[in-house]
Amino acid sequence: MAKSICFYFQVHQPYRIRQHQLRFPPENHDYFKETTPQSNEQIFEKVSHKCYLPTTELLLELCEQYPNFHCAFSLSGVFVEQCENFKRPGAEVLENFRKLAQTGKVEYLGETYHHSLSFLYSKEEFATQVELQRDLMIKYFDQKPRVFRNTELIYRDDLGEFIRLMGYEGVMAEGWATALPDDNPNLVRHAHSIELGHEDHAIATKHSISGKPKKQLNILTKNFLLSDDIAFRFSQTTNSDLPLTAETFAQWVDESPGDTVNLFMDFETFGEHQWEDTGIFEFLRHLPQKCADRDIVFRTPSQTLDHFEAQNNYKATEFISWADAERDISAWLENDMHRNAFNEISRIEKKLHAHLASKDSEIISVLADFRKLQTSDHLYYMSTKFWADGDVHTYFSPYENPYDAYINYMNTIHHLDWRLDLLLANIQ
Amino acid sequence: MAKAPKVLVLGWEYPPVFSGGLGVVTKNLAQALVAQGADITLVLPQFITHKIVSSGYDPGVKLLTFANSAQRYDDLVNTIHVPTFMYSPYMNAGDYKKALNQYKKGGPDVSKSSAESDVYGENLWVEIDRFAAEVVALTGENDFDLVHAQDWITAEAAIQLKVKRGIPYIIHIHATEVDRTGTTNKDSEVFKREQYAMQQSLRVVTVSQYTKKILVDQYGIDPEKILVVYNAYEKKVPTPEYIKARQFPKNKEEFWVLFIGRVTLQKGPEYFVDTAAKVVPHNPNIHFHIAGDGDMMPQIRAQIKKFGLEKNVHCHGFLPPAKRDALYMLADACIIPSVSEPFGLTAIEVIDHCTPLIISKNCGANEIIGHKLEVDFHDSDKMAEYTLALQKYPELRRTLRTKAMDNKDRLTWEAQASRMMEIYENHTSL
Repeated sequence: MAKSICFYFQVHQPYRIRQHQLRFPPENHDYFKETTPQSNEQIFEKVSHKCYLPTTELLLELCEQYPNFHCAFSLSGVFVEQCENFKRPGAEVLENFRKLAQTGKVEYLGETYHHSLSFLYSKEEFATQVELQRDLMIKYFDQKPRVFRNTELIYRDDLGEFIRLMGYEGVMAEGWATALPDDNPNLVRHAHSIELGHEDHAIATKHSISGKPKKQLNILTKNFLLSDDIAFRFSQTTNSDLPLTAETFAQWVDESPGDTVNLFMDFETFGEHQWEDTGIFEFLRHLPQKCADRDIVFRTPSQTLDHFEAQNNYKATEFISWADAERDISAWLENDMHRNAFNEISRIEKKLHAHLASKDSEIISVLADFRKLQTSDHLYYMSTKFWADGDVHTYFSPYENPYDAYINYMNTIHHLDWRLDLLLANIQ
Repeated sequence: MAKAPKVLVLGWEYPPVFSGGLGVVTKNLAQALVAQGADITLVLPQFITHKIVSSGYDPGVKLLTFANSAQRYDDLVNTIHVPTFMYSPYMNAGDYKKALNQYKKGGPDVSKSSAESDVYGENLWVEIDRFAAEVVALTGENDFDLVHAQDWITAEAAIQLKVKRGIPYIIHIHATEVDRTGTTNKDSEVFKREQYAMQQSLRVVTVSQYTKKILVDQYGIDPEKILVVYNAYEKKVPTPEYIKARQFPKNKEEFWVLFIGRVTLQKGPEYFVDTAAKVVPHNPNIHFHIAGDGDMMPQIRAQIKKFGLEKNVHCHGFLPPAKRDALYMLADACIIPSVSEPFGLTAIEVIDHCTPLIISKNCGANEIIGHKLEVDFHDSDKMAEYTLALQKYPELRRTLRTKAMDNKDRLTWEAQASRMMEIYENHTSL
């Protein structure tokens, strides 16, 4: 049976927060405007030109040229929102994603609208954010997501069960040894089925997208070695096999045992993390032909799940993610600042819980801001994991250090909390 | 195996008698080197200055009490005392003259004969030459492989030993005139002496990349010749004085911010007071403590008065180590707004007590401290924001406190001494 590659690209941009000083509280609540050192719009525009536009155009070409080429995207709602808000070049970026959908060869996955960690603090909020993103996918791409991926591939058995009850057929997860019985990420897996508590079960069922959930949820696991050969190691010149050619990579895929090589990575790999001059676009351009030479085809996640028989269980009793060497959730929830920020989100979420359906424009505005503050990137910026040595790692953060990230976040979320209290006092 | 390198270390201060970090460094490094097999002889000036101190001269040298005692300060390090009047490595020509005049005039407590005081040079430069000659004479009997000088003030002695007895020297730069005065006047006597001493040395050792850059950019020293050996954490056992000193009166409602160091231009005390002025209107429970003394004290007092901060900014003067340690312990935050600091042992002491640290970017210790809040020394707005945030968010303090421990184990005097040993052995095995 021909082996296949399953490409999935993560497309996400957080709304970075403007500087908020304790001594001079802001006069308005445009938390996401005039951010420093670059505005959200400037960053979006820069990444669009380096990555989103050239890569979507290249993929459109590949879809046209190679009958066997397929791929998948997961677009966060906040990314799509930025496409809508920052029309130049957002409109063009969104149009390219629509064209990709129209080829019939590109699948759009489900995720939380706000790229959040909501599953960890509120199932209701989680389910709501999944629905919001789903609505966007239907609106723009006329696709109802069948396969789900959670923020940063964070997964645990109960998340799988929740997602199954919501009506999804498959989920993406990290191919990490602790969860894989035989350490082979190249096989489709069954989720280890567990039973949810009564309350969670009811929430999942309430937000179900299909009449009857599938009997079994299947899992596609990331081949992190081969994925990272592209995403992280592509331009490393120390490796003797590099610069990596499409030919060599196709050979590695061929040699990797199993049915499907799942290549999951940030879309920004193309042109932003790996700059154009590394030859990353040429690599992608030639990959389909080099794979075709070896009878390797490309399948979308849904096609992969339909095509191959699932075997053995993927069992995750603890959270697994695709982040850092630990592959756990410590990038977002490790130090005291994380826990404090997390508790604040959780506390405010409970306060807002009764007002989720409110028609009050002020409440709607607070809720929209609050959800943007739930984006996991804000917590990631607070991670102190890389600071032990005192040397500044090249750190994908708008802040100089994790402490600034925490202070600014807390100042902002407290301001939001204050706004909310004023509003709620008026309502009562 | 090569024989142990026999090294003459030219020191200035030695705990418990010291006015600054140099004494701490000298002691810890010398002991660790001896433990690693080096044969170290330490030259220390024999202070006869305690009477001057009691007559109220420089409070920065309050502790010079071992002057007349002849004991060895530990069993391992041989010490040779050379009488001199250059009792502080932080002194300049003016300070010397002032102190000497005061000494000659004699306060009520001074009982030395005038004959004794005649020994000292009429100005700092003469005294430095006299000290150098004494060192050469005193060490005449011994054969040293290498001389290890500290800062410019001992450099002349090292140069004389090189010229007269052919012993090469390395010079350890703990601070430069550029740091001390904040200017880059290349014509000053001290600048020229520092430059010459480095040019004549076998190797230059310094305490941070930050200082190395100054030595290269300002003094034109070949970067290949300069090695960085950071200072380290000192292992301390709580003493009874320390435990007693911890009973500092502190109201639970109060949030304490510390400034510890000499109150002098280099340390940026005025930015500490500026910060207080920006914080107190927002939170009167935040109190600022200045532990230290120095030439800028009158200016600082005037500044406190001008801003009306008498209730919130407290000046304690120079504190003995036990009391200082206690303050580190009790403080909720510490600010080091130094204009230029080659290393800044204070920073290490703050981290050692797991106290959250706001520190100037112009501070060499930054290179080895991961978890701190970094600022431009003059940016009192940012320091004020950090102070208020530290007060408001206990989790921020807790994260800084717990993470402070992260690289403590790696930064030991043993590790730093073995770097020095390498340098010694490289030059003695030639």
